[in-house]
Amino acid sequence: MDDQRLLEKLKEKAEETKAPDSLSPERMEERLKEYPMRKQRRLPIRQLGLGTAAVLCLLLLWNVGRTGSLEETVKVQQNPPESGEMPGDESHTEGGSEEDGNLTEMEESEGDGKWDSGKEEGAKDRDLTKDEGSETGKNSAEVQAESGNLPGVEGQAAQHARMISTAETDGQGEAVSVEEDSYAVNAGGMSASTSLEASGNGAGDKIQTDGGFLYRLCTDGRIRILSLQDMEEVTSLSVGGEQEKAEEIYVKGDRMLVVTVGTPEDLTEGGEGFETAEKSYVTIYLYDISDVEHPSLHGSIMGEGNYWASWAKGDYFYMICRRTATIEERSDELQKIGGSIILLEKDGTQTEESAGGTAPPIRFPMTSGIQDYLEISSICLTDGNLQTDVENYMDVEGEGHMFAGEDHFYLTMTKDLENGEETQITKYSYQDGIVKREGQAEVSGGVDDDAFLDEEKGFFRVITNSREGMEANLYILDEEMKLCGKRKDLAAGTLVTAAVYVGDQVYFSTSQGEGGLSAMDLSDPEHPREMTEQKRMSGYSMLRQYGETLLLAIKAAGEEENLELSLSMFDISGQGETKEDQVTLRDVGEVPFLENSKGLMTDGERKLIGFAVQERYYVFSYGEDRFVEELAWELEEGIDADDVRGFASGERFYVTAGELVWAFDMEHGFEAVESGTEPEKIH
Amino acid sequence: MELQKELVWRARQGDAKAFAELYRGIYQDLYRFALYTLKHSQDAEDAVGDAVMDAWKGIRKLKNEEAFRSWIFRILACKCRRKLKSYRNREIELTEDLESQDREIGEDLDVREAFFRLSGEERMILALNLFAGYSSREIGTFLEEKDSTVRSKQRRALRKMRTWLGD
Repeated sequence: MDDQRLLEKLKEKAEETKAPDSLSPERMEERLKEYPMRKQRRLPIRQLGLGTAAVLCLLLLWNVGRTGSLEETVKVQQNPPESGEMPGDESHTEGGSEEDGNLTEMEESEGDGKWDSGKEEGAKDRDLTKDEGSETGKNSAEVQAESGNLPGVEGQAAQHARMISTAETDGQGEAVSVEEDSYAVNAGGMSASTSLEASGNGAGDKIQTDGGFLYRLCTDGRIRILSLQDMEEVTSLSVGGEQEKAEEIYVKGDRMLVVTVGTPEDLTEGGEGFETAEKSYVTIYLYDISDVEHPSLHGSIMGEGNYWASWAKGDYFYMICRRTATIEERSDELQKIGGSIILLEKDGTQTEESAGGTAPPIRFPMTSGIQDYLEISSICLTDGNLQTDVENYMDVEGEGHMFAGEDHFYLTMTKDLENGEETQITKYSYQDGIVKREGQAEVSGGVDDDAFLDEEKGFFRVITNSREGMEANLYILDEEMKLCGKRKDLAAGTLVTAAVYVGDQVYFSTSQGEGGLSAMDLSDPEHPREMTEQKRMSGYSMLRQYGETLLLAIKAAGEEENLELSLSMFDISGQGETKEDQVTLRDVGEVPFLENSKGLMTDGERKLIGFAVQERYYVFSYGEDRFVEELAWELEEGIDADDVRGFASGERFYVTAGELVWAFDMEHGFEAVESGTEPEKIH
Repeated sequence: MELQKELVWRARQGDAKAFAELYRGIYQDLYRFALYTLKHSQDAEDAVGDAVMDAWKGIRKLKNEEAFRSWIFRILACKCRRKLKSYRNREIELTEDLESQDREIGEDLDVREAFFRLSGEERMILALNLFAGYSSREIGTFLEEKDSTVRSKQRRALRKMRTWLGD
């Protein structure tokens, strides 16, 4: 019985269950009549200023005639490029220039608010319902006054304006610094595991290591720190309150960031039903781990919304949250913290800005109804300052992906429209915590994976699949997000299932074996060229560059109960015939790294490949043109393969699963060095 | 859909009858969602009642009339999630009404029994799909998980059920 059939049977059975009489519509109507509706809270237009009042009036009038939520931006048809190789231009781009009014430049603010740094040592649970100010002896009014809040607002951290902690010092009055280029690697190993790491950006994960210590997020929610030298637990700490769940950790130098997501019972007193109850939020805790045995909480910052992505670059940590709110709700929230709002028209041009506040303005799409959007924040890791620097938004309606490069990052959103899928791509520059929206474009089709995106020498490349027409296309956009190159129907009537960009080349696998291309040369962005000399590939779920001349291709085939996992290695050096080796694992069950690529470890330097399947952790080496199985470690029952990570450090290979850690001697056939660290051994 | 828009508009003006008509179209699924998530008929009944009252009080803030169903299911799902947390470390026995139906013999019984063996989170994910009609993305947004994680958890839950059903 397949999944769909099982769900149908379940639904059929459920339909035999009938609601009790007490829940009948007639009885419910009687109950409703006992509760007269409250008056709607009015937006204090006067406080926002006349300009904004005028805008809001227009908004109300507009709402009368509108038929739906914000669907699409106005497309500005560009002149076709001169190359002439792009018949039927399907992409639409918006200009990225300032003259178009689409630039939303963010300015770093000067420090007009302060956070309670919440200076604590070791593990101290934070109760988010408490007044933040009480942590350092300040009262609510003092904290709010410093942060620019209006008096009378209860201290809690569901804010989106800038929040700055008091600077932490090392006791001599000097700010604590973060070493350059000393960030820990995550479980992905030396080779890039995700698009976030393609440009050396650090990504958070369940574990981090700096070679000396292993920092891991355990299933009980605690962060445990293990000395790799003697495999002894150094310390453990609990982060966040009961309502929070730690998602990722990130280590750089003597700083550790922990990202938690939470859902409080109620964020404000006297809530009116679900609008104020159960609002999700994301908190980032910054720890000083210069004394690794006694991590000290440096500060924290909380933002409302659902966690979407985070990564580090240089001395800054960037976070993207997804929020759902109406414009009135955002206006209300911003008023409380002295913020202001810029309303944007459908084409991205901005309208009035509300009377200035102390916080940077929020750019918000002018629409009525509940709006899904993304907010981007940056946090500085140096000098002990935490800053939520930049607010931005992106219309969010579909499935999202991102690519983070050296100087730019790109967010894509794929929407289902009547005539097929369409992907909106927004380009941002980012440097030293300053995020600047630089342009936007739209292309046909949907992006299925982060790996379908790439930037090289300022050109953005994207592969999309159109399921309606069963077609895969490659688009190349220039620095201004204008289409400059394109190749239609990459896969000859099928779709692309996996892709990887290697410099000026892109390799991809198609869903079917016949026809289609396997590689393209993109060195001339206006004229992408088919590389017919490369072997065609089909059915692969993941492609990963391995070393400089090899391509690792992974395929999962069959039903879940008897899934086969194949690893293949292709030589892409172009120096003669393509060589390959293949190894197949049968009945592997679940393969979580196909959904979450952080679970796949590729170490090009040591020539290792590691990953977990349902009941085992495998390590393969690849040398002399063949795979060698180095380790097939049986996982204990109850371990979720999605929680398992592996990495090499020194002469050992480590496998972690929550509280458990196993070490293997790579010099002696991956012999197990010690048994896993049991929770009972933790001090 | 036009009728629904009109009913929402009227409900916003305080028309309890209009709200009750909106409720009529979904109340069976609301109760089934709560019951299958919580496995407890009284708690399910309370959750639905509370959610409907909250929705009534907050109907003016619902701007997108077409989203009424997903909106009220979200309110109910929040209530159920809170209730599930309170069940932590407690074994919840099947309630009497479900037990009486357990006397049936055959595959249909096993399907529901297999479902009730799942964890609270797994039941919620499947119930949001089955009764609320939520997509993986919408479920992910609600549970603060990525779409892919939700799909993985759903697949795992269904695989467990098939194992218990001997399929």
